[in-house]
Amino acid sequence: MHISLRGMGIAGVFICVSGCGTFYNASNDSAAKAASRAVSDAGLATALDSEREALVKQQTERLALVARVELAARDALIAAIVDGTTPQSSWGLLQKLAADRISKIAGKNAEANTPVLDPARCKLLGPMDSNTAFGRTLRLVNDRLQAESANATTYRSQLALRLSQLNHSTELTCSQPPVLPPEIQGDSRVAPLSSAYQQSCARVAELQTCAVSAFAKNSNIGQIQDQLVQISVTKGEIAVEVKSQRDVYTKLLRDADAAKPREGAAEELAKKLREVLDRLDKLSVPGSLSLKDDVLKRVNDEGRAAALEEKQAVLDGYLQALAGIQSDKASNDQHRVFLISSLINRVTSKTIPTAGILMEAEFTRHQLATTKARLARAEQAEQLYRRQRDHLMEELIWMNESLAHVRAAPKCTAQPLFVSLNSGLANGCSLTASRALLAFSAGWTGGRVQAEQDKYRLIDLNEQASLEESAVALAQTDAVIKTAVGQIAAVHANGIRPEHLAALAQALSLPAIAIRVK
Amino acid sequence: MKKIFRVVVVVTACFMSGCSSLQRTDDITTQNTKKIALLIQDIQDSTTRFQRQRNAIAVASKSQRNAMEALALRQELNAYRTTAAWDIAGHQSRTQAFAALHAASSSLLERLDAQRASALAHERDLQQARSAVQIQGAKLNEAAVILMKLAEPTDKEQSQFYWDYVMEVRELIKKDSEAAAASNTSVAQAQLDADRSSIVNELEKPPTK
Repeated sequence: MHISLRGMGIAGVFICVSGCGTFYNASNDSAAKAASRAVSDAGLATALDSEREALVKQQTERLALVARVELAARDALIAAIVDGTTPQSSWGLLQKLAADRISKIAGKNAEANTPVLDPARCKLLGPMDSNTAFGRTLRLVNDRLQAESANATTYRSQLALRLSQLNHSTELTCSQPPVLPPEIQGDSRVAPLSSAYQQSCARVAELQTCAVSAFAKNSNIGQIQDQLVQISVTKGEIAVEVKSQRDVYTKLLRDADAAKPREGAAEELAKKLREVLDRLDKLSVPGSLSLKDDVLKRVNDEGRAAALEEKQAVLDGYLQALAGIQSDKASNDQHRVFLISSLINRVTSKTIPTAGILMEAEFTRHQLATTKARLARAEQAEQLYRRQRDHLMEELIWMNESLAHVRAAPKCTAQPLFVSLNSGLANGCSLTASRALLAFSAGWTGGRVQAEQDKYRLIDLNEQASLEESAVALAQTDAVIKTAVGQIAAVHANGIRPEHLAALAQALSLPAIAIRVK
Repeated sequence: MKKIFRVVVVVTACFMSGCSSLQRTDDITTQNTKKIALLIQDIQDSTTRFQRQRNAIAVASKSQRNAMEALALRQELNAYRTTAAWDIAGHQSRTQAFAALHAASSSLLERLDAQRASALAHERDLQQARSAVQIQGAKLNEAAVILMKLAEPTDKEQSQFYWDYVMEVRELIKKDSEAAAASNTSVAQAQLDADRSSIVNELEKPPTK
């Protein structure tokens, strides 16, 4: 009876101890570990690497093909012009081809070489003869625009350099005046540079408005220019909205950090901070509706980037305060902890493990990197529009020159072009024909081929975006799924193993034996 | 006898409470393991969807390239027909004039290509530097999460956090990046299809001249 009572006692302790935990199941443990390994081996994060390589190769080949098509078309037309046996089938063909291109690129007025600039919008160009023909004004605007853009770039570089010497870094764009703290504004070199940069930016904008007036709305350049103006307007609207929401957030956080704690205030503050971040995250301005390209519409994500940066700062601050890296006591004040909890409110659990906050910080970094990649693609798309416009402008200038040669020498154009070309050194028509053809060819090579390639580079961007977004989705999924499956493996591995029970049994049995011996 | 009765009552109470807690945690684990299994299946569906998107772009791109190849060939033949006729007819001066013009344009093109290649190489360098930093950051975070989990007790209630977290994050990823991938694919495909149609129209027109 004595032994069975003790035995029952030991069994009872056993059951109590083991019942509170989970029995280790070797088969479940090994299955969970195998699943965890399988998830790691699936290589989700790198699944699309070979696709990326293939896409780059295919896009490079396509661009080469675009150039091949355009150059072949150029050669076929030049051969046809040189082959022409009458003035109409040679000079006439050249004139028609150049005029058609000018009309398509810039509009009917440009093709007729009539003055097209709106003097009210082009005051920067100075007094102009109202009869100044399109070709000349085009060169005037283009030269002035390029010179002014170069000035803006120089001032921007000088300002950025000076700011870096003062250990300050800020985004410098023409669409938004630089926001500088008072101590930096007081610097003797920053103020004049910042002012010169802004004035130069204003002149670039004015010249662009002037240039727009030269092109028909439905012409190639007119359409691109319209998009570029819309981009600039949209960026300006976004910058204002982001700044305003960020100011609200910063003030709220600063006031909250400075306020004395009172009951219920922390939760209320966290709610307000969260609301501002949500507004920033979903920011979309009216101007973006007029943007044509999907990749370009992502300029709206500037708000999202700002929200994610603020979120990351709060998470990092909290983690650094935990690690004792940051002495800033405010980083783990109650309202910030509530904010973190609210930002990770996707979970039902009331207490968030620190590893969970680390995961959220990493996910936020991922999201921020994705958002910045989208903004970078939008910026690339904008640059492509700008380059396409510049290449079309290049083509336009050359086509104008070609046409000017044709129109300037009626004596030469009275005979077939090849006859003029082959008329020898003594005859000026050989030079006129050669210049007209070279200008036509250069317009095609230096302008049209490049502009066509830019058009395809915009398609490339959408293809890349499709691939990169898929890759990001897989990489983000990979990061979180590993943790979840790892957790399953840990739960199964942490059960009470038979050897733990045997050791426990032995430990519990020893006093019993000792009692019996006594 | 009383003693035995007390021991039996205590043991039964312990057994009952232990068993019910064991049953509850087992249920949570089983339920969540099922959810994760379904989630992995869902990820598999996503990868299949990505593959379909890649295939759609590849098909659109291939047929657009075929059309472009045909156009290039046609333009090259146009030039060839004209210049070959000059050679046969002995119009060497026309051939020479054409070749000189061609050479001047090719040299301009080479300069433009070299300029573009250098700009591209610069962009690529910057991009590679950026991704290397990101990869290291992700690996370091993975290590930090593992260590932090070891430092915290493996509480089964906390396991619930990770399971819920992964489900919710997965939903966010689907709404954000996966939706964006689908949208960009449709746009790229539509652009390629439209471009192919315009090339086909061009091919259907009679040649210039």
